[in-house]
Amino acid sequence: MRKVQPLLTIFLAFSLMLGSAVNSKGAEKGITLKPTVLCATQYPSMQPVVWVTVQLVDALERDPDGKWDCSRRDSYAVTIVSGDKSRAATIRTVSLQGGPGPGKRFTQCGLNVSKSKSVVLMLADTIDANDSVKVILSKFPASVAPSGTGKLPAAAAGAPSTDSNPSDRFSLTAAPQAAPGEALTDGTKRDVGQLAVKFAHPSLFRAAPFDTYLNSNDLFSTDHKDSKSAFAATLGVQRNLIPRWYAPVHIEQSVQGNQTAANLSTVSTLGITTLLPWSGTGSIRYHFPQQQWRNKYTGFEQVLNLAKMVKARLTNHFGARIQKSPLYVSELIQQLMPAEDSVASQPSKRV
Amino acid sequence: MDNPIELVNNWFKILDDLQSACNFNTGLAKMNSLEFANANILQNLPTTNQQQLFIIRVKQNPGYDLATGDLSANATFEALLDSREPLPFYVALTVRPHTAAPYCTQAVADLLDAPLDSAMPGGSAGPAWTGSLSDLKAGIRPVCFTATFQTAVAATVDAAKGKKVSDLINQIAKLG
Repeated sequence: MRKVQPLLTIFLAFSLMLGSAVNSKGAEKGITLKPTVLCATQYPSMQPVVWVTVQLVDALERDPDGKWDCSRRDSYAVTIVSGDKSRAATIRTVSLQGGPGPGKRFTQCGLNVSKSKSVVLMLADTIDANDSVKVILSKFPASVAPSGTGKLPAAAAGAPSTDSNPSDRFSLTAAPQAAPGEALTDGTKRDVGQLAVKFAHPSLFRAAPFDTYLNSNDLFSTDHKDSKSAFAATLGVQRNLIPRWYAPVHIEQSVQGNQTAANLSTVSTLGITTLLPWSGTGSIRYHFPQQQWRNKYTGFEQVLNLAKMVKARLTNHFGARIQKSPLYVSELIQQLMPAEDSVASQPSKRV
Repeated sequence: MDNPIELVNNWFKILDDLQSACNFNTGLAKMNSLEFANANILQNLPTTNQQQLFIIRVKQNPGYDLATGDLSANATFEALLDSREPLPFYVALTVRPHTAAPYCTQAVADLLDAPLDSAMPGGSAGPAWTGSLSDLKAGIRPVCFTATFQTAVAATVDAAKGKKVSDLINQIAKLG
C-alpha cells in the first residue's frame, strides 16, 4: 500500500498537468455581451416599447467568415428573469444599426465599414424595473455562445427619460380625505368626505399604428352639492406625422363636469408639438439673437448670437447714452448681455 | 475585415453624421470634431423637443435607433456613438498588428488584458508604438489627436509597467 500511494499521487499530478495543458490550449474564452435595456418610443406610432441594444464587435471578431446571421430573430435567445422565475421573451424585430446612406439600413453584420456592428432587439414583452434581460447569441459558431445580462437603468441614475415603460399598463390612485366646512352649491357649508381619484393609461392598444391614451382626474364627495366635486376624463390619440421631423399630432376629447353631471361640458382638442425652425428656414434662424427671451417669445432654441453684433453697432453709434435710454431696445440689449456689459465703462461717443 | 484605419476614419464620418443631425442647434453645429465628441448631450439638447428631434434625425442618418434613455445613459456624443460603433475597439484593432508576439495575433479582448510593457516593448521609441502612432495618425483626425495629446499618450507608453493595454487604448479613444 505504501508503494501504491506515491504512484497514485504521481499519476494524479500528471493527469492534472495534462488536463490544464489541454484546457489552456483548447478552451475558448467566452465572450461577454453587454446588452443595454431601455424603454423607448417607436416612431411614427409613438407606441412605448422595450428594446435591447447589443454590441457585437467582440463576437463578430470570432466569426470572420460571417457564418452567423445577425439579422435573424432566431439568432438570439432573450430571457427575462424576474427574481427566481424566468421566461423567454419574444423578439418582434431585429434592427441592424447604421446604414450606407440616409434612410437606408445595413442588412449584414461584420467588422467592415459597410456592415452593422450592433443591433437593437425590439421585444414584444414588457419588463419591470427589477427584471434582468439575458441575451444569448444562438447558433453562434463557438463552443461557448456569447451571452450577457442587462437591466433597465435605475430611475435615479438614468436622468430624465420621457419614454414611458410599456409595462406600466395604467396608474390609479384614490385618496380619501375629510373636508370640514366645505362650501356647497346652495351657499351653505357642511363637513363632507371626499375621494380624489386619478387614472392614467398611456397606451391602450399596443399593436395600433398610433398611441391611444386615457386619463381621468376626479374628486367625488359624500354630498352631491359639494362645489369642489368634479369629473374630468380625456381620451386622446397621437402619432408623429412626418418621418424626418418630430411633429406629433394629437386629437383629444375631454369631458368635464361635476359628479352628478348637472354641469357637463365636452372639449375637443387638436394639437401639434414640434420644434421650430423647420427644414428650409435655416436662413431665418441664423438671424435671431440667442438668449432666454428668444426661446420664450419665438420658440427658437439655438441661433447665432446676432445680439452681440447689434450691440456693437448701437454702442458705436450712441455710445454710453444707450444705458440711460428709455428705449425698449436698450433694456433688451442689457438683458441680452448682462455678463459682458462693459459698455458703461467705455467713453461715450458723440453722434 | 476592413483595414482598421478605415474603420477609425469611418467612425469620424459617423460622428459628422451625428453632428449633422443636430444642425437645428447652431451651438453644436459650429463645433469642431473634438468639441462635438466631448459635448454633453443633455446640456446641449435640454428640451424634450430637441431630444426627440435628434432621435428622429439620427434614425434617418446614420441609422441608429435611439431612446431618450440612450441620451441620459451616455453623457457625451462620443460615448453615444461608442455604444453603437466602439472607437476603443477600432483603436485596438489599429494598434494590434504592431504589438509584440503573441498579442499581435490574439483577439482584441485578450490584447486589452495584456500587460502594456509586454505588448509594447521599448516604450515610445520601440517599433510597436512608432508603428501604432503612424497608423493612428492616419485614422484619427488631427484635431482629435494633437501633438500635445500624442506626447501625453507616449508618456503612458513609457511608464508602461503595471499598466494594461486597455489603459492606453482608453486614453487614446478619449481623444484630445
